Parts: sequence; C-alpha cells; structure tokens
Amino acid sequence: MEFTTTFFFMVGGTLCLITSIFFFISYFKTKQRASLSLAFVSFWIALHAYAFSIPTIIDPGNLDLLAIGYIVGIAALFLVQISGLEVQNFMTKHATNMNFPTIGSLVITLIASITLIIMSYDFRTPLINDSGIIFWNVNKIAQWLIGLSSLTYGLFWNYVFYQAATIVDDSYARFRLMIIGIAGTSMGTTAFLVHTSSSEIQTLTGHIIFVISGLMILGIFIIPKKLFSTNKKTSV
Amino acid sequence: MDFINVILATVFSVNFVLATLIFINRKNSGGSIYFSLAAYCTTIWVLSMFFFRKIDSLETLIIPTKLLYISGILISTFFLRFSYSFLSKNSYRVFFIPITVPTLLLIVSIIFSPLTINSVNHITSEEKNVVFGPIYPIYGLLMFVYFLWSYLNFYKRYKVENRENKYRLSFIIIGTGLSVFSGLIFDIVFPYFGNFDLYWLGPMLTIIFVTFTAYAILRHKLFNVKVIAAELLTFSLWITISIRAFLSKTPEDQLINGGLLLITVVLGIFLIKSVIKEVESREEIERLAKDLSTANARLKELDKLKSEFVSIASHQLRSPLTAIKGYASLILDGSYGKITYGVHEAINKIFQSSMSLVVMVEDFLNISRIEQGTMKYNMETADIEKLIKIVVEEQEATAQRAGLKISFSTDKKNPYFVSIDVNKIRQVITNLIDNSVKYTPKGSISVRLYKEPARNKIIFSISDTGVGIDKETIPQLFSKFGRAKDANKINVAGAGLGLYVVKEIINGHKGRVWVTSDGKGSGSQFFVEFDENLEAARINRVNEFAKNV
Repeated sequence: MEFTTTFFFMVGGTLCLITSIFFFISYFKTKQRASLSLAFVSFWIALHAYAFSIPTIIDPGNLDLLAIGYIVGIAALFLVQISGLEVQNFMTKHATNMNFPTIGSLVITLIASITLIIMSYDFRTPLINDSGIIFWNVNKIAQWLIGLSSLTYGLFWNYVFYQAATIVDDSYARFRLMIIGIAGTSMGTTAFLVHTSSSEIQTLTGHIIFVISGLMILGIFIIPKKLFSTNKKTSV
Repeated sequence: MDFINVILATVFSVNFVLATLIFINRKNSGGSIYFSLAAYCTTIWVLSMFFFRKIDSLETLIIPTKLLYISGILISTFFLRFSYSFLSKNSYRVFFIPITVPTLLLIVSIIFSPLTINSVNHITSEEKNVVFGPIYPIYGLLMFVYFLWSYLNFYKRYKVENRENKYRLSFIIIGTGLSVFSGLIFDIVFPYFGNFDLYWLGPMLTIIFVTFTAYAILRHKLFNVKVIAAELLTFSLWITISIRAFLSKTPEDQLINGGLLLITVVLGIFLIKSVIKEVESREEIERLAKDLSTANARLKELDKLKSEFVSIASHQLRSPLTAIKGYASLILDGSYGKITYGVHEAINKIFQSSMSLVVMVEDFLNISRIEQGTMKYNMETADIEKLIKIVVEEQEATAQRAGLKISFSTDKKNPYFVSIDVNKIRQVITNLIDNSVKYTPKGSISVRLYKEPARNKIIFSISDTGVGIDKETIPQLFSKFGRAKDANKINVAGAGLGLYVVKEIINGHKGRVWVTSDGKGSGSQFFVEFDENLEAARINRVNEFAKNV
C-alpha cells in the first residue's frame, strides 16, 4: 500500500513545524506579537498535516482513526485561521483596534462549529485509492465550508501582506512579506483543492502546492539578506 | 369750489405737520433745524399762495404776495444752510455774511420798497398778476445761486458717503430738486415774463418734497419714524377727542369727553416720552457700537503695528543673542583656554540667561507670526518620544540648578509617531518644562508619554510639585498675558506669553492642550494631545516586523 497523502502531509507538516520554531525564536528575540501569531499559525498547520498523516502510519487499516484524525485536523485548520487574524490586523493601519480580530474570530468559530458538528453527526470514513491518495469522504456541506473558507481566507491573507509589502522601503522586508502572502494563498488553495476533491489529480496538485508553500515560508529564514543588498558590485 | 385752493390747503396742512414733526424731533447736532425751518417757510409759501388766490382786495393782496417772495428767499437761504450741515462744521461760517446779508437786504426791499415787488393787478375778475420791481432779476438770480450752491454741497457729500447714506441723500436731492425746479420755473421765471397761469403749481408741487421726505423717513430712517408715528397718533387722538368735547351737547357728554381728553393727553405725553426715550437709547447704543467698532479697528491696527514692530525687533535681537550664547558655550567648553571657577560661574550665568532670552525672543516672534497670520507649519512625521527626550535632557541642567529633579517615562516601547513641526513642538515642550521649573520651588517634574489606543491619541504630560493653580485661574491661563494672580511673587520675569504660544501652536497642529490642578500647593499637570500618525506607525511596524522576523 502506498502512502502518497501521508508522505506529502508529513513533509509539509514538518516544514511548517520547523518554520514555527523559527517564528517562536524570532518572537523571543523581538517580542513582536505578530511573530508569535505566525508561530502559532505554522504550528497549527503542522498539527493539521500531522493529524491527517500520523493515523495512517499508526494503523493504515483503521479508517475510523483516520476519520477522527481528519476531524482533529480540520479543527486545527480553523485554529490556523483564528491565529492568523492577529497577524493580518497587525499589518493594517488600525492595528490598535481589535474589532477585526474579534469579529473575524466569531465568524470563523461559527463556521468551524457548524462544520465540526456536521462531520460528527454525519460521521464517514475516508476512501483510499491504489495510489495511496486519501479521499476524505465527508459531508458535502462540510467539505465546501472548509474549502471555501480556506480559499477566501488565503486570498485575504495575500491581499493584506501584499498591501504591507508595498509600504516598506527595504527590498528584503518586501520579499519576506510577499513570500508569506503567497504562501498563505497557496495554503488556502491547497485546502480548497484537497477538501473538495473527488479526483486524484486535484488532490495530488493540492498536496504538491502544500509542500511548496512550506518550503516558501521556510525560505524566508534561509535565504540570506545580502542577496537583497542594493550595493551591488560590478566586475571590471 | 376752487379745487386748486383745496389742494393748496391740503398741501399746506401736510407741509405744516411735517415741518412741525421734523422741528420737534430735530437732533441737537446736524442741520435738521434748518431743514425744518425751510419746511416751515415752504408752509408759509403755500399758505401765501392760498391767500393770494383767495383774496380779491388789491390792498390786502399785497401782504400774501410779499409773504410769498419773502418765504421764497428764506426757503433757499435755510436750504443752503441745511446743505452745509452735511459738510464740515466750520465751512458755513466763511459764507455766513455773503449769504445772510443779501437775504436780509432782499427781505427789507420786499417789505419796505417796491424794488422787488412793486404791486399786484387784476387781469380779469379772477386772474391777478404781480408787477415786479427793478431788482427782481437779482432776487431770482440769488435764489437760483443759493439752490445751485446747496446742490453742489450735497453732491460733494454724496461722493464720499456710504451706500445707505447715498440713498438718504438722493431722496433729499430728488425730492427738493423737483420742488425747487418747479418753484423757480413757475413762480420766478414764468411770472417775470408775464405768465401767471401756473403760478399756483410751484407751491402745489412741494407735495413732491413732502412725499420724498416722508418716504426717506419711513424707508431710510431719515428722522425718528417711531417718534413721528407716536406723535401723529397722539395728536390725532387729542384733536378728535377735543372736537368731540366741543361738539358735545349734554353736560354728561362734555364731562365724559373732557375726562377722556385729559386721560388721553396724560397717556399721550407718557407714550411720546417713552418712545423718545427708547429712540434715544437705541441711538445711544448705535453710537456706542459705532465708537466701539472704531476703537476696535484702531486697536487691531495698533496690534498689527505692535506685532510688526515686535517681529522686527525680535529678529534683530536673535542674531546677537546667538553670538552671546555661542561664545559663552565655547568659553565654558574650554575652547579659549582654562578659566577660573569664578569666571566659569559668571559665564555660566551669561549662558543660562541668554538661553532664557532666546526662549523669550522665540515666544515674541511666534506671537507676532500668529497675530500677523504668517505662522507656517512644516509638518513632518516624527517620533515625539525622541524629541521629548532631547528637550528633557536640555532642560535637565536648568532644573538641577533650581534644585529640581526631572524625569521622563513612556508606557511602551512603541514609537510615538505624530505629524508635527518639530521646531515648534520643541518650543512647546521647552515652554511647558520651563513653566514648571519657574513655578516649582522644590520637588520634581515628571514628563510622561503615553498612548490612548482607543482614540488613536498620543499624549504627553508634564506634572510638577509646584505652587499649583486655583480653579478660577485655569480658564485664562492660556490667554495672552494670562498669568495666575500671585505669579509675580514667584516669577517676576514671566510675561504670560509662553502658554499662549503653546496653545496657538498646538491649535495649529489640531491638537489639544489643557491643565489640571487640585489647587494651590498641589502642583499642576499640563497635557498635550496629538493624533497618532497611524500610517507612519504602520509603516514602521511592518518594516520592523519584516526585517526582524
């Protein structure tokens, strides 16, 4: 039996976990609350990915365990969204006004509650094809709520970070903000593709994008700052 | 029935009432007395024409005829005098003899000689004509000159008057002009050539003069219309009730009407008096308002001149002060070699005094800029925390010399971005700390900077343990030259300008400044509030985040 989904989620989850450690370190250095929020965002994404993949490693034949892992993973996904609100608010002009995170959290909690209740009452076990790709086989309403809310959230995330990138004067800072923005959209797209999928290629695309997103976020800590130095030397 | 005579009688009555009312309500100053005299002469002129037409006996007819021409010359003379009331007070004196003497000579000639008016003849049983004497042309010419002279005077005044007064004058000029023109043509020129057909028209057309004057009274307050209206009403009542009393047939009616007349007379007098009093009060208020307005304009002018003077003087003072401060600083730094302790102390005092003077000169300059409306603000985004820190450090030495501790604190590590004119806000902070130092004999001064996130405001406060301010003084503390009652006892040098400058500068920043104090001996707290520059804060925040994450 192949573990395609498990592999991708494990890789993506590990990348996110490493990223979250970087963000936590950054928070302890700078004491910026936005770094802490991003650390939690990455951590919840990692948890989300592990919740989808670890049950398969523990007992691949136990579909109930996989389904429970899925519900836990979805709960983590909504925690990602709630944690990310403060980061987005931080990027806006009225950062001191907490209306946006509060209202956003309420809306996300409402969607999360509806989704999780549906999934619990209409408990279904996933389907695994021969290529090792898992189709989560959840209630249609629940899967579209997850997919659409994730995509919308990802697009909004990108908009906020793109706006922030336009106002900074440092090219390195601009690059980092752009990358975080694009990674957020990619993650949202992943969620949309994976959770609403009934085709192998759609799910596989989602998995690949997820790993790329993890690499992109990690890249902001790895790519050296000197690459963005404006004092370029010319050879004679 | 002779309709012309009926009309003449009516015109006479109206003219008489008008002349009387103008005479009663004449003002102490101005030429309304001469206007009313001219109006009375017009009345006599109209009445003479009435009798000229009415009387058939040639022996008797000469009296109204002569009165006709005496009143004519008097109208022109008083009218000329009236026209001078619109010009400067003394200008008439120059012409008094040239005007009065010919008039008197002509009146004498009319009364006692046939040189002007020779006799009166009957052409038909109803028509009459006047035979003029040899100097009649002089009489006509003199009248013409007097009227022309009057209108020239009016014209001189008309040119320099404001719109409202031009209206008033135009009514007098047009109203009297039409009457004068018709009078000269129909009663002076035509009769000289033997045409007496329209002899009556001149006096009758004085109704134009009456109409125009009445309109000017009602529309443009030429005279006191309220008083005139009250008097007209009262007189009408008196006359009506008097007639009723005389016509009463029974003793009871006579008694009732007599009593009614008595009450009406008493009440009427009270009414007129009260109206007169009210009008006088209004005129007094108008006069005072005008005086106040003139005084205010003059004060503004003086204030402007003073501001210009202060501005020039302050600019001149600033250059030498900078030199004094600079050289004193160099000497204290040891740039001119070692100095003894005594010299160091003396130079230090020079340096500190020059610093105080620089602040004062800057205050004066700011005030003159504020008052001239030339205060310019070069707004830029700045972290006010840094600015406050610098000023507090600068003022530390001054505070220490005064035996005071000065401290600065902020509630967060965030930058405090505001849009300000850095130099002017530096002046504000300096003034406020300087003020606290002056009025704090002992203790400490603490400067605090904090945010009110809910309102997006940045506030800095300067609290001292000084003499405090009583509640009555607080409202006037930020006014120009506004100082506390006992301020002179503590700080003689203060001019009460520093806080005024602070308020004006903060207003220019759309900020707010206020003071609180629990009263004397409880110290005081000055607060200055700005809008946080949210966009600058965001750019800084995002930059910091993206660089350090």
